[in-house]
Amino acid sequence: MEQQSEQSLENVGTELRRDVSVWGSYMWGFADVGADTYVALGLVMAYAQGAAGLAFALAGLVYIMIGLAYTELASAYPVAGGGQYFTLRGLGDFWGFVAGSALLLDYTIDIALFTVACAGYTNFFLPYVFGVSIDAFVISLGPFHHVNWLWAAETLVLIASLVWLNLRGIKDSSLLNEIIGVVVIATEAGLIIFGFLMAWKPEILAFQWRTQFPSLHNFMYGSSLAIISFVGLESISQAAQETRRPATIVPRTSITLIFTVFIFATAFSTLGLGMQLDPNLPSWQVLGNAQDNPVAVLARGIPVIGLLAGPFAAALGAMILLISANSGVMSASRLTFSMSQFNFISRWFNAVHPKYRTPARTIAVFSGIGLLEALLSFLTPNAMDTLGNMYAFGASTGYLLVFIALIRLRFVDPYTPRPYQMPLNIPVKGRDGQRRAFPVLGVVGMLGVSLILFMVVLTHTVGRIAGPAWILLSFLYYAYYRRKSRLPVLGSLPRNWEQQQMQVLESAEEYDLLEQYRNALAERDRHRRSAL
Amino acid sequence: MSPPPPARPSAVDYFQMVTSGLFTLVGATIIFRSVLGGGSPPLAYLVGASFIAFGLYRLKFVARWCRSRREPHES
Repeated sequence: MEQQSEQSLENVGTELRRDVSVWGSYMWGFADVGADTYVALGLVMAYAQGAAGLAFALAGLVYIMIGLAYTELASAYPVAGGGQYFTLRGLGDFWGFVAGSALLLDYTIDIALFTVACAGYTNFFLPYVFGVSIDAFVISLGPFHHVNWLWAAETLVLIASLVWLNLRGIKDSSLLNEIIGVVVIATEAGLIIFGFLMAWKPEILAFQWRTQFPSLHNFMYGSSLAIISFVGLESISQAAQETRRPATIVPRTSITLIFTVFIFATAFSTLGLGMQLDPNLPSWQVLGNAQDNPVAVLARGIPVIGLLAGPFAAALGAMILLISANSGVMSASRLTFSMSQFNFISRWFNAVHPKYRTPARTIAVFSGIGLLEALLSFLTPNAMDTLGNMYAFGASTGYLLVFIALIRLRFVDPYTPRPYQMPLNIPVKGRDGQRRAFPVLGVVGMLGVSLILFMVVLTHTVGRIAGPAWILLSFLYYAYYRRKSRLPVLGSLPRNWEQQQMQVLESAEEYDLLEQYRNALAERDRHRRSAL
Repeated sequence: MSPPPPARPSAVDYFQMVTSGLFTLVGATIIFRSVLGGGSPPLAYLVGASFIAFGLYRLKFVARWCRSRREPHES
C-alpha cells in the first residue's frame, strides 16, 4: 500500500497550478515581508539603540534595490525557484545550487523564526490569563541553562499544524494569507497613524539620537540584523509560477510591496524611538527587552487606545507571524521542487501529491529541518537572536548571487523581454548588434548587499559559523548526488533555455511577451547568419 | 484595450482612500512637529516625506479613477 502511494506520487505530473491572483500574490509577499518588522524591531533596537531608525533605513535602502532586482527577474523569468533559478540562468549550475542552498537555509529559518516569534506574541497574554510570565518556564537541561520548554512546545505544535495545512494545498494557504493580511495591514496602518498623532514626541527621538548612539560594533550588528525586516521578496518570485499573468502582476504587486514594507519598517522604528514607554528607561531599551513581542509593547504605549491596542497588536502579530511561517513552508517546498527539477537534489523530491497536487515530500522534509532548527535554537541563550543571525547570513548570501546574476543576464540574455527593468541603466552595444543595458543600480545594490554580508560575517558569531556550515553540508550532498548520477559537480548541464523560456511564457499566457521573445531571437539569428 | 473602470469602489478601495489621506496627513504632521521641536534627526524628515509621497501616490489613483468616470470610456 505504502509502495503504491509512493509510486503514485512519482507518477503524477510536476506542474504547479496557476492559482494565485493579484491580491494573493501581494499577500503572499506581505505575509512574508510584512511580518519581519514584528520580529526585527526588538532585536534591532537591542543593538542599534538610539540609531535603530538609521539601521532600518540603511538596510531598507539595500532592500529596495534587492526588491527592484527581484521584480525585474521574477517578471522576466516567472518560474518557481526564485533566486536559485535566476543564479542558475546567469551563473550556471554550481552557483545556482549555492544560491538555492542559501535561500533554502532562509526558508527553513523562516519557518523556525516566525513560529518561535508567533508563540512569543501569543505569550504576551500569559500574565493576563494565567498570571505568569513566559520566563517562569525556563529550565536547565544538562549543560543548557536557558531552555524554555513551554515556548519550544508551542513552536512544535505550530509547525506541525502548518505542515498539515500545506499538504492540503496552496489554495487554502493563500486564502488564509489574504484574510489575515487585510486585517493586519489595517491594524499596522492604524497603529502608525494613532501612534504618530497621539504618542510620538520628536524631542524624545532627538534625545535618544544624541545620547544613546551605539558602538560601531553594535551598530553593524543591528544594521545587519535589520535586513531581516525585509527578507521575503523571494516569495513573490516563488509565487510567480503559480500566479496568473505573472509578467503583468508581479511588477505591480512587488513594487507596491517594496514601498509598503519600507515605510512600515522605518515608521515603526521612528515611532518607537519617539515614544515614552517607561519613565525610567529609554524606549529602545524597553523594546529591546521585549524581543518576543515588541510591536505589542509599542502599541500598549499609545495613550487612550493602548489598553486595547496592545493585546490586539499581540493577537494580530501572532497571526501574521504564523502566515509568514506558512509562506516559509510554501516557499521552501517550491524551491526544493525547482532544485530537484534542475538536478541539484534528488528527483525523489520531485513528486506531487496525487490528491492535493502539492509537493508533499519537500513540505515534510524541509519543515522538519525548520522544526529541528527551532528546537536547537532553544538550547542557546536567545533563540530569536540565534535564528536571526542565520537568517541574515542566508539572505545576504543569496541576494548577492542574485545581483551578480542580474548583471550577467543583462549581457548574456538581452532577448528575454523584461516587463520591468531596474532604473538607471547605461546602454551598451554588443558584438551581435543587440543593445544591452548596464544596470548601475544593480551594481550599487550588489555593493550594498556585500557590505551587509561583510557585517554579518564580522559581527554574527552564530551566522558566520552555522551559515557557511549549512552551505558546506549542502555542497557535500550536492557533490555526492551529482557524482552518483554521473553529472558534472562544478560544471553545468547543457540546457535549452530558449525553448524553456517559450514554454514558461506560453503556460503563463503571456502571449505578447512570447511574440517579442520570438522576434528578438529571430533578429539575433538573422544577424548571426549575415555575419557569416 | 483597457478594461472599463469599476462603477463603484469596493470596501478595500474605500479603506485605501481613507488611509492614503491619513498617511499624507501623518507625514505632514511628522515634518511639522519635527521642525517645531528642532534638532530632530534627518530620519524623522525622511519618514514624514515617505508618508506624504506614499499617500499622494495612492491618491493619484483615486483622482485618475474619478477622471475616468467623467470621461466616456474608449475601448
